Amino acid sequence: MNTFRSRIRQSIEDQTLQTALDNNAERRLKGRAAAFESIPDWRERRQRAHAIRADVIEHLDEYLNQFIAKNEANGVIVHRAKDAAEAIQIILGITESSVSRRWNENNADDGSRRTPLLIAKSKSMVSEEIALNHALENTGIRVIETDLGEYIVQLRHERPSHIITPAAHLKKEQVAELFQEKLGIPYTTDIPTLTATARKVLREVFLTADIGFSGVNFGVAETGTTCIVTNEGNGRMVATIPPVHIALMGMERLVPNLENLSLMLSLLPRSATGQKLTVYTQLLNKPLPDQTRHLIILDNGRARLKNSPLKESLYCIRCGACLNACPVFRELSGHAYIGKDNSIAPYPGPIGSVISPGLLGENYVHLAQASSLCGACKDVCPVDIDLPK
Amino acid sequence: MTQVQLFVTCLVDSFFPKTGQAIVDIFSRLGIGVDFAREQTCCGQPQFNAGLRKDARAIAEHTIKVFERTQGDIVTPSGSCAHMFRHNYLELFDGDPAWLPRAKSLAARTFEFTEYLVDKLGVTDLGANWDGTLTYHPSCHTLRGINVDGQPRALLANVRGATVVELPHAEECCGFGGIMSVEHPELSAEWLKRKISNLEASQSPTLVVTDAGCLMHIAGGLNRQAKSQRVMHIAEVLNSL
Repeated sequence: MNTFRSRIRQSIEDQTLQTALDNNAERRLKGRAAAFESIPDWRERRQRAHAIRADVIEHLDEYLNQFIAKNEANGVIVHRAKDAAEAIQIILGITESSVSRRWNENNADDGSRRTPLLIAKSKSMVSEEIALNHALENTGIRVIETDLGEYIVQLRHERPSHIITPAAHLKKEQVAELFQEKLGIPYTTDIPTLTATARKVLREVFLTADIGFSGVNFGVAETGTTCIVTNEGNGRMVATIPPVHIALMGMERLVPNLENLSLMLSLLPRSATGQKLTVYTQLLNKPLPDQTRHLIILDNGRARLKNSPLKESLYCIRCGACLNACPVFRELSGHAYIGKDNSIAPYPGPIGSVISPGLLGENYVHLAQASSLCGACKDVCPVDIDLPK
Repeated sequence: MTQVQLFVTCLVDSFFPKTGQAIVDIFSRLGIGVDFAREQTCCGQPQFNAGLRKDARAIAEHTIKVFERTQGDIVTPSGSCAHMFRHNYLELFDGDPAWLPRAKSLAARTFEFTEYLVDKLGVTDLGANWDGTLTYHPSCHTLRGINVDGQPRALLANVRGATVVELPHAEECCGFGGIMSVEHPELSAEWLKRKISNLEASQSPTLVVTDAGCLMHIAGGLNRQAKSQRVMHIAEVLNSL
């Protein structure tokens, strides 16, 4: 608790951080409010979304079985992982067969099989939950984050500080310095220039990656569809260019059918970034002809949460609106949500203060006390989760 | 004569008795009697918020019993205590076939003060006078907890001589958060700073609140920073003739 307190003080005293957080909150809350004006029936939508998610969680096993069956019929290889360790084992198993494939494809002994495997990764908070990058890098695999915010924090050797906007704790001057140092470009705070630089680097990554890795925003049980939303198109790139695509999904992230998906998609981008729709919305069914797709469905404490008083927290669609509305998050930013062992909780903010201890235990339990119960989170939640409760 | 039961709240009882008095005066002018059940205590919110459910339940049981011996609507000068009775008591007795109905009866008779005046009595003009500018801070529990917002604003709009201005970012928590100000004083202080700077931006010398917790917190901050603005409970403004 003492380290948590000193971490709180540290955040409060960091003026650069405070400015970045204020800017984030202002921008996101205004954006969200403006976006919701275009759906005047948002209250009803929210209630419907809540009911749909409640139904899914209540009958999770049935929906999962349906989802898995459809995926397998579509030629997707489905794995179930009961915890982080198992998920990592499965992923490492897939990488090993990728290494063998590359060996077989390169007959000449030109040393190409000695180059490390490259994984192009689009944003996945559940991969943070299982500390995937660390585990992969320890075996010599190169993992490059392709979401611009994730790429930035990766270059800084940091964890994401927000579940939607990983670099929300940074000001553009810091990114300018970072790119100057790590990517060798002259110092500039011109955002199009910074973005174009990252794009050039990441282009190479997409085109040469052995494996594309993504999360899953929603799985549609009825059709076996995997839905991925991004603004940068990196989700599309990682899911279609490399010969192998691995999608990692929290087992609760399902909706029953495509119509429900459409409802969720009317709420998620508006809540997350104030957009009516993200720039790219992908609905993946069958893998491409020369592609192998693996879908890994992770439990890691979700089954236990389902049968606990914290069940409602599983309805979350990971929009991040609660983080933007929360006065605690606004002072701290994600990196200050630390456990007793000083590790950063994989999920910060109001939802994080419930599911980080909920899924990962005692270590994070004091995070739930860092709340004034002001209710701003419940107010903005598109699925009407009673987080203060 | 109709009578209401006053749930005075521990904060008003201990620190702001004038607020309680103002409520009695207002009801008296409206021809409504105010009864006061002497055995009432705190509603149990600090314990509930701290996760001490057993203690909170003991207090809730006592409160239910005290008010079962009385008749009439219960009026309280606190959105958070009203929220406690109407929401959290039901959670405390969830699944208890003996106590839940009793908790529900209590909840059904409980009103926040401005909510009672406007929604139950249909009164928005109390003939109050105030020479000066006012701005309103909605407490978290009043605004989001029990969805009361139009009512206090309507009452303030009818105060003769007063200019009511908007408080920037009014819906942001003041930082009191009940026990949060004790558990995380650094966070609490940051939000208080923001609330006070928004108050200064409003250019109003007087801030009006419905909850004594916010009152204490903001007034304390203003005092320590030697600022001239003051905080008033809405009952005292509405009682000003």
